Amino acid sequence: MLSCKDVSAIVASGELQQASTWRRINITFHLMMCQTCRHFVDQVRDIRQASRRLVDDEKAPGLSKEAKQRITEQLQKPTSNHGE
Amino acid sequence: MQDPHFAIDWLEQHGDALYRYALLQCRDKEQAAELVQETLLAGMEAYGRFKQTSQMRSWLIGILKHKLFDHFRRQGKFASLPEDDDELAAFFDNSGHWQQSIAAMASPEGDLQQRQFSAVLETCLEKLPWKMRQVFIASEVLAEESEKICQDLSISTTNLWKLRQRSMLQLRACIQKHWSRS
Repeated sequence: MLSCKDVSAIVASGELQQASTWRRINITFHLMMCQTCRHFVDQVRDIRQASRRLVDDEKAPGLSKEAKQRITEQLQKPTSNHGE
Repeated sequence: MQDPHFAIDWLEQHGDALYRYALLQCRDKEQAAELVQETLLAGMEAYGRFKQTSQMRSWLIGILKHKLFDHFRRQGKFASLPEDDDELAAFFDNSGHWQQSIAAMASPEGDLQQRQFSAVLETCLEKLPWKMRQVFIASEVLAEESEKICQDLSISTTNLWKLRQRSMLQLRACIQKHWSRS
């Protein structure tokens, strides 16, 4: 019998994808009876979807104009001035 | 080899993506821009070793990652690794039941809500201890392979699982608190 702690560990650690059939059945069974774990699983799904969007978000602020200008200048300097 | 035109093109095409990647992890705009600059300079030097079969952006992100980890190392982030097994006691009782039941939470619907939800997620991510945040970003945001993450952060697989569980538990609790109110 899996505890809520076990279920949360399996779901949150991403171990669920690799879990055996027997383990999956146990989790399904636990979720049928446990509303808090069901809510947990739903929320983890929302968090994961939002997480993937964090880095792909093309509308998020990028480099400022000033930073771009500064970097362009640095890139145009002769190699010997890079200081490394 | 060291033709700045390449690098200026990279800055145009990938600069913002590199910047967002760096900013997500180091939370410092100046530092993130600095890391982008270092990455492009290093890319210029190393361009001869770039294999056309790989994607330019992934190649640059690979360089950026090295720069980022050097930066973390300089900050001494890897030095201490506090292990606290009692952390879970805040969430579960001795028999493994939740200390507090979790209420249902409305999923973000549509563009505006998704944006708000992402903002809450970022706020809560900032509150996580460094290592948990790194683990969360690597596994959930960047979807990196577990082995790679363990290697990068010098942790064991078991450790990774624990950190993933803890970061998710803390993050979820924080998000529910802030999301319900907004």
